[in-house]
Amino acid sequence: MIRIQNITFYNYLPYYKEKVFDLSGKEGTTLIFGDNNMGKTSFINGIKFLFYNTLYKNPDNPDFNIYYNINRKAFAEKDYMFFVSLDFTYEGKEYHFIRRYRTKSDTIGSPKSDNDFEHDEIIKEGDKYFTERERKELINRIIPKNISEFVFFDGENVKKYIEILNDDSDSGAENRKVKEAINNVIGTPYLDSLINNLILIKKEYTDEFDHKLQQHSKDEKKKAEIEKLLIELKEKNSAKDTTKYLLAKTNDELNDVDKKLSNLTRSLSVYEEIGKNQANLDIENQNLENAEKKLKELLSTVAKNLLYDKLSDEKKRNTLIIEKLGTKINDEQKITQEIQQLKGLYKKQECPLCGSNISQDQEQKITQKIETLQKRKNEFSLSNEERNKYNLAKQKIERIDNLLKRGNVSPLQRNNIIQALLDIKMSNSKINEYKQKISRLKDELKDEKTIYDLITKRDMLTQKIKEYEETLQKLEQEINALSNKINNLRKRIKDVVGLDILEKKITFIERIINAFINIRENFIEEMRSKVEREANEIFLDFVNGLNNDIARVEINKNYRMSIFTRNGDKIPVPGTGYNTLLALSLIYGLNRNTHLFGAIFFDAALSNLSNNYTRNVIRTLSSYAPQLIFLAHKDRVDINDVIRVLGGQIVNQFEIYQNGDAFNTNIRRL
Amino acid sequence: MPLSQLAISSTNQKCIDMLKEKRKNYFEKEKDIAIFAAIYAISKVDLTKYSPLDKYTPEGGYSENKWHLQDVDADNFIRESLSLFYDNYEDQDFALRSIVSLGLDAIYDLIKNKENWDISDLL
Repeated sequence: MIRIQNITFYNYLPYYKEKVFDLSGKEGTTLIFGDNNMGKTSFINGIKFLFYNTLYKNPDNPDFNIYYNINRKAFAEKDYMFFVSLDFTYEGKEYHFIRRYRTKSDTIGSPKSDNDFEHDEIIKEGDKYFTERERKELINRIIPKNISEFVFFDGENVKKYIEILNDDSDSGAENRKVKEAINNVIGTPYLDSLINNLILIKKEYTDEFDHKLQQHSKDEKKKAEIEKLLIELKEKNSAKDTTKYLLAKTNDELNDVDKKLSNLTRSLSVYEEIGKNQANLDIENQNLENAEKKLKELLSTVAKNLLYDKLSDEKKRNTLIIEKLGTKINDEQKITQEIQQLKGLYKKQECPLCGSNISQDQEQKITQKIETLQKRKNEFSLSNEERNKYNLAKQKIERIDNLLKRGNVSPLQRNNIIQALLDIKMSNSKINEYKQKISRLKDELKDEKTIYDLITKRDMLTQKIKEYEETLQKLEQEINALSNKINNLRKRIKDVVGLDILEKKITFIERIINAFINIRENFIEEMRSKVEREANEIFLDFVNGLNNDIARVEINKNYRMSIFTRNGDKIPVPGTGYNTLLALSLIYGLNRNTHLFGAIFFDAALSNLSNNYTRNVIRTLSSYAPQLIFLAHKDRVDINDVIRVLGGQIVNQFEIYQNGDAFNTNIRRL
Repeated sequence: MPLSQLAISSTNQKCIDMLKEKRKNYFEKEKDIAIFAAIYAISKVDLTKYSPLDKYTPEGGYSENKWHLQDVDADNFIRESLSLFYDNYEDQDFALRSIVSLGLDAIYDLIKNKENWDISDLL
């Protein structure tokens, strides 16, 4: 396990003179943050330069690449030396590693090309200086160049992994490169080379066998038969090679199609948005239909109901007339009754109550009273005009009641009509909005045809691949059958001395080859399963608390990863943020299962992750890696948040900054 | 001679067209427009201004026979209602023709220059 103690840059890119990152002390996370162009990428590249002597290329002068790597300010000041050095422990031993360029002693004036420089690569363990071979071996053991992807979690590597995640085939240049690197980590090339060597040995024995057979056997019939079968075998092998080539080519094409399709993921989300808007549009159309139906219902009686208020008012007016004239009539009737009573008294001459005789005086009083009442009665009596008015009002009320009943007239539901009209307006406005949205989204789908074509092409290629694979399988079986047939014939030829020994040798090698093929397959499967376990664990920690529906991730034989929900459903197209998380998980899974496990340099672009996910990634990586060197962009990552999230896990904090001088990055330990 | 057909003016026709154009579901048939117009006239127009009502002739005259009288007021509801409020006419059938035309004119005046009118403006 590698553990970095300190890193020193001297005149390397923006690091003017000597700048040291001291990482000694406790294990944990080192946070290095700064603005754009302050030296974060140069930090990672400096490590790569140290291990693999990778220099930036000078596009203006290919003979003077060093000019693009040395600090310009130092160069202007005629300080022509630059280096990167590292103090680290590896498997319990302490090492000092430095890569340095400086001008040759015979260079006169300022250097003009790389030839004016000499280069030193020094590795020391205590006082012991390593030889070139020892250095090479150590570097290859610590971080072999072709597998540096598993140590440097930078944007470039993550991008490569995202590509592999989107590719289920065995082909594709970038894909092959990454898979080759994965196989290197796993160690299969050693087995592959062993198997290939055994196949070559077997071929030598088989050739020798056939040669002897042709030369010495007298069994012409069998010889001819073998010859014929060998020709047939050759043809089958040639067909197999052609099919293999076609399969690889078709896989490449499929790879390209998939890449194009994954670039069109925006279109897929546009399709989804169109679907949602279409559903809303359908709902709104239904709302409109309902509101229109209601309005129609209300309007079916609107004409007659429009008269309701007028008829009601008229009825009220006439009722008032009746009430007013009716009082007069009542009063008149009362007075008439009173007069009648008095007149009755007058006739009887004795009081009906007390029985005494009515005196003359009393008689006079009654007469006066009757006269007074008569006068009042005259006041209350309706005129002819009033009587007509009264009768007319009565008739009108009757007619109005009749009309209301006959016409089924009811109060005008003005408010309900207005509400229905408003509902219609609202629905129409929403419908327009959804229609415009759909039309806008459809405009975005200029690639619609392309997607359709690509999907069709993908189906066609997948079918072709299936056919080629079936053909290959069939050819394999035929080749095996032919080989067996030839072997059997060979065994039956007994007239050549020494063939039996050769045959035994061939059979023995065949057994060994098959055994190694099995070992290789089991080993790959075992490694895949281990990587999957680790990747799964870290991925679930990345999404922990943010998406609890995710149950697991799976890695297939081509190291393509898939996400599954708790219901067992596979997420068909993970978003770019999730692809970053998958890539990080895969890199970690591979890192964890090799001897590389130790320091992790993390400069991955987190721009497509939300703050919560960024927090989870930093927190998780920090707790998983014994030594995490986390390079953070000040604007992209909330440094205070990172510090809060990681708390005690941060053992070093550095800010890299410049004071208006692009060639002088300073380091401030916080 | 008794009236059997209700005629309208050319301006009345413009109003009918506007009502039909606005929303097909305001009125299912043109005769519903006639009923609405007649009742609109009774409830919203001061018909005393057009005495004698049965003799009223719209500007440009009646240009087109549009409906059978019995289709528009089969149950006599409109004519009966009219007689409740007005008596400035002798022939109720001709008066009905007048109020259909007057109602359409009144509606037309209200909506002809109004871009976003709806049925609630007429209630």
